[in-house]
Amino acid sequence: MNVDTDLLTEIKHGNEDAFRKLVEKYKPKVFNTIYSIMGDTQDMEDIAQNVFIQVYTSINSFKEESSISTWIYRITVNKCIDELRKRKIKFISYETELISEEKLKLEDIISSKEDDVVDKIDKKELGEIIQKILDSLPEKYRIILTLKEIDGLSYKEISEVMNISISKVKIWLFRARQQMKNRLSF
Amino acid sequence: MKCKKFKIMLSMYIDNELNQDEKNLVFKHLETCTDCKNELEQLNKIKRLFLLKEGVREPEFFEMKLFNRIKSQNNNIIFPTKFLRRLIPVFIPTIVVLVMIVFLIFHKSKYFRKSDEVFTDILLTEQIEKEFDNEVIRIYYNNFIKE
Repeated sequence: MNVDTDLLTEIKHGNEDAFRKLVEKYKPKVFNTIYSIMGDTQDMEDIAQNVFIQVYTSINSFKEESSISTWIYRITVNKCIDELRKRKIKFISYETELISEEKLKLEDIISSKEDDVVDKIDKKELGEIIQKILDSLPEKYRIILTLKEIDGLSYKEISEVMNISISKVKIWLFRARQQMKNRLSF
Repeated sequence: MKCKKFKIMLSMYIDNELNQDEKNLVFKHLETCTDCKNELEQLNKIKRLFLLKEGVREPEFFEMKLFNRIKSQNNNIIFPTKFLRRLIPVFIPTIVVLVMIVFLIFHKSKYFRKSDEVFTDILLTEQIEKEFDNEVIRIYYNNFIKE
């Protein structure tokens, strides 16, 4: 029996400690997914809380047709989409174009063959530049790249989270990467 | 096969989503196509970028805030009971009236008579009155004859 199934059984029997363990395990993944899709940390905590509250309140109706991680990712993506819909009415960000300095920095980093390149760069700044490129992509491409590159899900898992066919996963990932290439002017 | 199809396959290749036959096909194509070779290089660069991206910093006391929210939500589930408690002054008289109505329905024969019972009573009364009249007439005529 895997750890998630054990945890799930315990939670369904009302074990609060098991739910705490589940939160502890999935918290970093949920935060990174939210940050990557939303593009900022503004509502990250609220969205993450809503994700885990939904997990807690609907765990008894979870039919285990997919893995618990896929289910949690699906809830996370849906909560982000809801928030993005709300935000779209409020404001649109125009600060998604990379300036030439940022492009040069990225080019330096990705063309470097040194192993310690990661230690030499400002990781925070790099993260912000990558996030800027992600933010400039259409919502569906941003989500699919997040699930693939940040969360490391397989095509099958992505198709379950986004509720699309595997063929669509292949095409959307291809197009998302083409758009990223264009933004980076490779 | 056209290069566009190979480019989609390259995207799958860097995700390790190709089977061995498909991989062999891609390798064979790459031997002769510089455009696709460049494409693969660029895709790998993008992949590398994401690997360099640091995870986001988690907010402090997240669990504490989350479990406080869950506890307050659980308390809110008691809300209907509290709401019902507030309605007690209205509920008790309503229940008393309902009990009275039910009692009367089951014992209505005691307190209310059916219409045909009333009709039978009227007929009986009429009959008694008629008998009484006849008796009066009989007594009167008997007396009259005697005189």
